[in-house]
Amino acid sequence: MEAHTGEITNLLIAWNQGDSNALNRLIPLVYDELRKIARNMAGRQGSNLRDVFQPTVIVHEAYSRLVDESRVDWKNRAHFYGIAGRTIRRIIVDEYRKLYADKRGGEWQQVSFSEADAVHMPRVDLIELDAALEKLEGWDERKFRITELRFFSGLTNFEIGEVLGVSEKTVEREWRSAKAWLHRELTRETQ
Amino acid sequence: MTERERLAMTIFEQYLDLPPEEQGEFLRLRCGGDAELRREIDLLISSDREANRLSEAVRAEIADVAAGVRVSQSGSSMAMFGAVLNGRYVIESRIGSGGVGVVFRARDQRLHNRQVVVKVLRETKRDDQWLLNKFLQESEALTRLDHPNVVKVLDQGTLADGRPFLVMEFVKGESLEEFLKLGAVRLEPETVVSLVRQICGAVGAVHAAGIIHRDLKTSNLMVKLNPDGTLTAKLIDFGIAKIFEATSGMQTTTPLTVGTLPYMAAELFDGGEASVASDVYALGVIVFELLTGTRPFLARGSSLVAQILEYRNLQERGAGGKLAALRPDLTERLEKALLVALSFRPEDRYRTVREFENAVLSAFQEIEVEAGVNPDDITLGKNETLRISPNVNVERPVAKAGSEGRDRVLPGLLLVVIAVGAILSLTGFPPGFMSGKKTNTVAPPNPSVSPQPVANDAPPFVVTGIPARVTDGKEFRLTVEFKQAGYFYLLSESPKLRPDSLPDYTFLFPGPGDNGGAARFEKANLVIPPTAQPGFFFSGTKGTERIWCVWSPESIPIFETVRTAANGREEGAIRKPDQIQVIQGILSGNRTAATVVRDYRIERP
Repeated sequence: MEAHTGEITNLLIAWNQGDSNALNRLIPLVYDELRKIARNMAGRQGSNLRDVFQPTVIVHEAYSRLVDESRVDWKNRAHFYGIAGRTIRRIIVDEYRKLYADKRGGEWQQVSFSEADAVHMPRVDLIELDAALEKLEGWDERKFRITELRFFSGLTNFEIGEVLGVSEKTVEREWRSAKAWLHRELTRETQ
Repeated sequence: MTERERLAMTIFEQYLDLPPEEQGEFLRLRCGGDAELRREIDLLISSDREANRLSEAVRAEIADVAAGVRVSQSGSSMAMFGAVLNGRYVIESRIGSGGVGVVFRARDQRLHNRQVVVKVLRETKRDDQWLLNKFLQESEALTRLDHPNVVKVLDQGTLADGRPFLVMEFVKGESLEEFLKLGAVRLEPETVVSLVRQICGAVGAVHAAGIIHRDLKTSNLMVKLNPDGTLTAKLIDFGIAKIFEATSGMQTTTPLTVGTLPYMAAELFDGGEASVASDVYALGVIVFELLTGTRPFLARGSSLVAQILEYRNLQERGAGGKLAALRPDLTERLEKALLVALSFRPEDRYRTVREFENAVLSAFQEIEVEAGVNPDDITLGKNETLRISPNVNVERPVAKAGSEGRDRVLPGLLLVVIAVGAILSLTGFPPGFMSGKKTNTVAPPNPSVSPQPVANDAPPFVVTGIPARVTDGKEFRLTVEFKQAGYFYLLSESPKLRPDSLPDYTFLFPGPGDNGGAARFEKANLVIPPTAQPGFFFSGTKGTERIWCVWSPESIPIFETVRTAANGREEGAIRKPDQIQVIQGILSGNRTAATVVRDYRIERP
């Protein structure tokens, strides 16, 4: 258990009981802790971080370390994952910005998602993805939340349904159309 | 977001909720004459098909960023852009990172600026001279290796900071992993045989050069469509980096990923060395995937460790019966070949890739015989039995004591012929066969258009019922009379959106449920679509619609590949530019002399 375990668990329970202020204190705590966990993993795994850094892994690791499971129920768990997903998104996009700060545009051409001849996997510009997610948020909040959780928390459709208070079927349906829309959005300029 | 985009999204969501047979009509009604709206929705529909690739790409990118956290701290990766290696390779962009290290795209200034791939090893044990030598030895062996199905290593070198790099041929195409995902319908036997030959040939050549691949998996094989319609597979990635880990002993930083585990033989989990036997195991998994689209063992554990234990246990228990359950149409002999390759103990597997390849290919020869492809070439053994698809209620021929293989096969052949006919008349076309299509149609031969030259005087098929002119929404059918057995394909070519754009092609026949998904026909008359189904109709872009009827005594591999990949995704529409070009090539004459093509035009006022 980490130093913040008690506090994070308390805030999680308080938030679940309707204390919206608890969320505001919870997010920065979770953000710091997730960063630490990611760094620790990086240290442990040497240069093969790529293979262990999956949001699912980090979030699960964070949950087991930061939340006292004896005191919370599945709803708290779902909420924790929800916050963690949002936080991971921030961390990833920040890192991406830093990583590619000096090389976006200019002489270095990002291999675009729709380019067919990429050797392995087509590339996605995460900043573009982030902007598309914001656009989606302004237009359909639920689709946005589902997408964020799918990409950045590793929650299953069922668990996302629990977080958002909708059925698994609804999550599946909305996720499918959100994904299609995102693809359309990210390939728009290359059509 | 514009109003039109919002509306398109709303209609798209309603479209997804509808049964397939109602989707086409629904879109027609909702869009009316609004071509822009229709185009936006069509783009959403095609995006829907591609969306899983997007998810994967996002996941990969997130993982790359995570790796990049390290890279940017050491400040080495970004400095690569614009760098010139060995005085000729200019680094242009980063493609991604794999097991080996970071992969860049570059241009060779000395050779007409051709594209190459540069792989820079991750920082591992580069201060260890022995390991570095080992790496250089292996990469040298790869440089000497010249095999059509192995990516060429063109050059090698060392960065200023001591990291070794390889320069490799740039391979276009898609990974076998993606290729298999696209194929909703199983691969034709010819395609499987060809891929097995190429892949085993490649791995065999690698072994002959004294190299163990160590990382065979579908994502390390590229597949490319050739202009003549065949497929070329290429082995692109070697587990060279793993030499470092395998031999360094102390630190096990083996890049285990969920994607790698299914191809790892049990002994590797126990700390054993990679060997020919472990490569043979991986080939067993790959061939199993070619045949079934899935893997012999599927672990469900949520953590890497749990999955490793699970895979080890599953392998120990064995894959017996799995192929038969998924592909009851294949023989026991083929299953046996796979089981030997997938054996838990390395000493129980084939000793060489060639042995494995021979076992698989000879088992396949037997299947071809059973399917009636080549009756003169019967090689059935005494204990072999004929297998027929389970949905056809035909008794298995029972071997009589003392009868010869040939005697037993002939009734089998007859039964297969009957079965093909039965499938044809029973299945017909699935509901919604034509629905949802943007632009398709057919009509009686247009007298103003002369058909393509025909190979002989008696055409192998006659098509009637194609209208010269048809208004949108009006249904029609065509009749095909086959004079000779062969393979038959029916394609529509839509009017172009713009004069300079590529046309869309759609396979009208065979669809996934037509004729059991196969293009082969005996002599018969065929109404397309069958009268029990809705007829063809047009909607969307107006103009001249072309209908191509293609008959060939042999199956056309490119058509098989493209149609099986396209079926199940918007009912057979082809949109990939390289595939469209290959189809255009065949239709415009790049085909065998025996192939007969008829071309009809339908005006859509």
